[in-house]
Amino acid sequence: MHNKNLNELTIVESLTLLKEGKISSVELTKACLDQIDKYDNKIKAYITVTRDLALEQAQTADAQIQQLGINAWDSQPLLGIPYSCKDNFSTKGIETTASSNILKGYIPPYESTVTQKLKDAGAILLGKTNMDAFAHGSSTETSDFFTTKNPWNVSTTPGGSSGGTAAAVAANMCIFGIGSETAGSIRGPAAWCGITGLKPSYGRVSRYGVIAMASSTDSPGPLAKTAQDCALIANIIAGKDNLDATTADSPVENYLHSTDHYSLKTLKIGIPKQYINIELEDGVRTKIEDTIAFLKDYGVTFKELDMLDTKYSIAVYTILQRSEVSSNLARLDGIRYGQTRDSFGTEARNRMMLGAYTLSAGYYDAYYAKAQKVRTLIIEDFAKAFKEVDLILAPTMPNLAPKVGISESSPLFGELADVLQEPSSIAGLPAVAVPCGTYNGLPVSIQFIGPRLSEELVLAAGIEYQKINTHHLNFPDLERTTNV
Amino acid sequence: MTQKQEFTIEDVRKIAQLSNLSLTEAELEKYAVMFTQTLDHINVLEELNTENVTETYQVNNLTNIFYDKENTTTLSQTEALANASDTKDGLFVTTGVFENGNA
Amino acid sequence: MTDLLGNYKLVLGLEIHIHVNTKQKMFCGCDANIYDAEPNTHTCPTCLGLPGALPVPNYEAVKKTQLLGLATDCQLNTNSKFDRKHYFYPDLSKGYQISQYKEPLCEHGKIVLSSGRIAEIERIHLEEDTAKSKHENGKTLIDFNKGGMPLMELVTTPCFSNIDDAVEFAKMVRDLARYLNISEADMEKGQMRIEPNISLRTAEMERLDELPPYKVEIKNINSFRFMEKAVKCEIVRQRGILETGLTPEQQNRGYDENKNVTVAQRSKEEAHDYRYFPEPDIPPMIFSEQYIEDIKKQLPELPAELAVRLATKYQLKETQIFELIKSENKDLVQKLEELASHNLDPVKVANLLLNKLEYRNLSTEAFIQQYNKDNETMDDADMLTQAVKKILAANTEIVDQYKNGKESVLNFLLGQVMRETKGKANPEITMQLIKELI
Repeated sequence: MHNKNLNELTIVESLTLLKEGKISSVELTKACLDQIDKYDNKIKAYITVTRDLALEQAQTADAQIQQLGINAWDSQPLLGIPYSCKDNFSTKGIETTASSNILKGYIPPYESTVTQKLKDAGAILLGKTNMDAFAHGSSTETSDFFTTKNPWNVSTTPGGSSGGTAAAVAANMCIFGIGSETAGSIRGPAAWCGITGLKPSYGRVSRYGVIAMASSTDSPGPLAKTAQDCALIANIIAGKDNLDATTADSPVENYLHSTDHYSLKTLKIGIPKQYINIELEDGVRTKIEDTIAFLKDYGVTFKELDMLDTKYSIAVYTILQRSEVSSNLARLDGIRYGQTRDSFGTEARNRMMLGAYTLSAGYYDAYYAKAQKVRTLIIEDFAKAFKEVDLILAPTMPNLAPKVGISESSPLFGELADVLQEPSSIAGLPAVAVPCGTYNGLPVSIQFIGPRLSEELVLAAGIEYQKINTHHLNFPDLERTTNV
Repeated sequence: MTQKQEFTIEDVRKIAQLSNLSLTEAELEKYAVMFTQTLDHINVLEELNTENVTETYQVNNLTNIFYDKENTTTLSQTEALANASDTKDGLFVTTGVFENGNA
Repeated sequence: MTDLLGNYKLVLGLEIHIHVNTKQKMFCGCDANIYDAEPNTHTCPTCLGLPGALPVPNYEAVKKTQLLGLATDCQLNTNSKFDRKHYFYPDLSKGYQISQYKEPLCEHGKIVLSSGRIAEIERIHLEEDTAKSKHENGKTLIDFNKGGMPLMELVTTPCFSNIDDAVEFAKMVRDLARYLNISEADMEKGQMRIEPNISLRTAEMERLDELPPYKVEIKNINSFRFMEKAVKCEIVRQRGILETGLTPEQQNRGYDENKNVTVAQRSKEEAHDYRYFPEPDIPPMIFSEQYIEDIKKQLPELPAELAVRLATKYQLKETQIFELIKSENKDLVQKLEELASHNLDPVKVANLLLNKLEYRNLSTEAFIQQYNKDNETMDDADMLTQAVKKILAANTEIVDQYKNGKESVLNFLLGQVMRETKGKANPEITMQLIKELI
């Protein structure tokens, strides 16, 4: 902590120093803004930087800290902490585009529940980050505006669709970030950017105000430097919302105490052979095998699982996501906001049209309805697995961050890249992705997947894992990586 | 099972219309190829027997979620119209009536 | 009617849309009292269709729809859900309407018409209304206040073979809605709209119970008079086409009241491929047996039941009952029952309440006082004898008729005495006196 620049701190470290009066929120916020000034022209994580607003909020935070002292955090647990937010979250009065041309200039007159909760908790918005337009992608290359680069190697992609947020966190251009996952959009970028991402269970975090992609799987969640930080954020943003009828009504546990209740050594962890026996890039396979060996050594019990072939999950996800996308983008007709429909990018059109097809008369049964039936099989498959094991471990991505340009290799690039995340997304399960090493200068990641609403369990696994190794402490040397 | 094996340009034209999108002939052709490729991946579901399986439309097992008194907050007229490209006397304005789904 | 149809038989069904009188809109918290409001002042992210907004259903609307279902003998589905219905139109903010497709709230009901014929209700479902748009100089101007308002849609089978039945049915639905206090159903305010679907078939087809291969829907009719006229127009038009050997095109038409014609409309919903799928943002509804029992209890006494009760318990006349079961006279019924419990003659009370405005506003005590005064009978034998003698003297021919065996004239004479005494003569005593003195 002592050798770090302020913008390199975690939330936990920042709070400690703030509470000790050793740093101010303005200093912390300025440090992040300076980092943005220094490196974002190379990384291009941010679409909008709300500099003045952020400093204003930081000043207010400092004034409250002055006045209330340590009690200031009783009602505002994240007071003074600056964060970046994916540009599909409606932020009142601040342009929200979902990285699409059609929404360029759109200023929401209302606030999303997640950003409102963070505001109420005292967090400070630094700006809105880049993404694949409408979240339709796994590399942030299909942003209508520009491509975000991976801070580890700027000729590679940061993953997507929360690529901007992940890059901002990995480049220490914020203390934490907020993203969303439909299938892979938090875990994927977390993996390729070497940071920690939590995809909460579907319905654990309110979708109100998040520009919808696939209504039945969209899950807002945190990307941060540690699993502990993710737990802190989850505490704030999780919970039932009267404005979102699909939010779970079970109470939110205090995720910071998760390791009090669970210990890796007492858990049985399953590894689906279908997730290991696919084509994994060499570096990924090596690091995964190392990790499994490391954990076995530590005392973790593993069991091989036999689950459904992942190709079915790819098919289910492609159909239901594109169907719901076709429906959710129907409201953009240029009358009440935004441009006309010819402003949609290629990927959006691609997905909308195929989605219209899979819902159309004559094909609905063979595609959408069929996909929802197979969804039942996938859910049952996980239920069966969780009878034998407590958690599932798997690589997060089958490959290392690929070169920019990769997404053009297939009309299904996104869905194919996220093969290891689609099954759990379809079933609405929670998962945490944590760094497990680097290979040729690029990060590798593993994920813990748990049963529905077991955020406490997956976070406990992630937090404990990060107690026994230091992979998550690796951050790219930006001077070197951005000056190629 | 009415699964499709190939997309023709006419197929794409039809779904473009359903989606209220206007595409050039070249684009229609491009998408026809793309969608046909996609079919290879989604047609695999045919392999699974789902005869006695019910659909899961929602994974959260919730039922009967209603609101009783409070829900969204009403916007002012100014806020409601703020993002529109054209308004008149408090109304949204758009040119022409949508004809057969094309703006 | 038969001259319009010629050799054809009418196949008519109705689709009735009714605004539910909830305090707030169907899927959002906006105030539902939109009538006369400034444009676009009752909108929110949800009904305006802003990106990221989500719908949450209004329970009041669900319950009121179920009450209408119960009142029309429908079965309440234990499983029901909302579906998305997709089409593009400026007045549809999300590009889809949240409606109900496969599992509506109510199904398979009926209303018995005055003729004894049965109007069959296929379903009643709940959905949101679209915005209000008007066309001006090649542009469309839209007010989204109406968007998202709760709308019940009641669909009949094509069960009507004559217009009068259909009009009566529509009026009964309107009255029920008012009676149940689930809608003001004022057609002029647009709170109720009717869309008749019309086709014609031959007598042979009717005999075989075969439906014609087409139907024409007339959109957005907002008066019973226009409905009747529109259907008649259509009958004439369709008959004309059928008689040339052709089949009328299946389409939507609008009614032009100025020219008294129906006009083909540009299709609002292209290709009729609505791409229905279950609304992912709203969990399904499950209604238990207990719930259905409880809601049945909440159904007020329906007009038909009340009519029976007024007849059997109070022996009211048909004309009185017809008036008293109207929804606007609910309070009169209450008064009547209260007063009848004080042993006042219900027929007389009903008469006074219906025909004499001054009686309606009286308190129970005041009413009883006034009633007794009005009904004071002249019981004094001397005064009555005087009156009877007077009448007998003035009606000697009648008296002779009696003496010749015509007993019925006694009632006439009684009536004359009543008239003479301004209704105050005690009928029993008077009749006795007449028999004695005659």
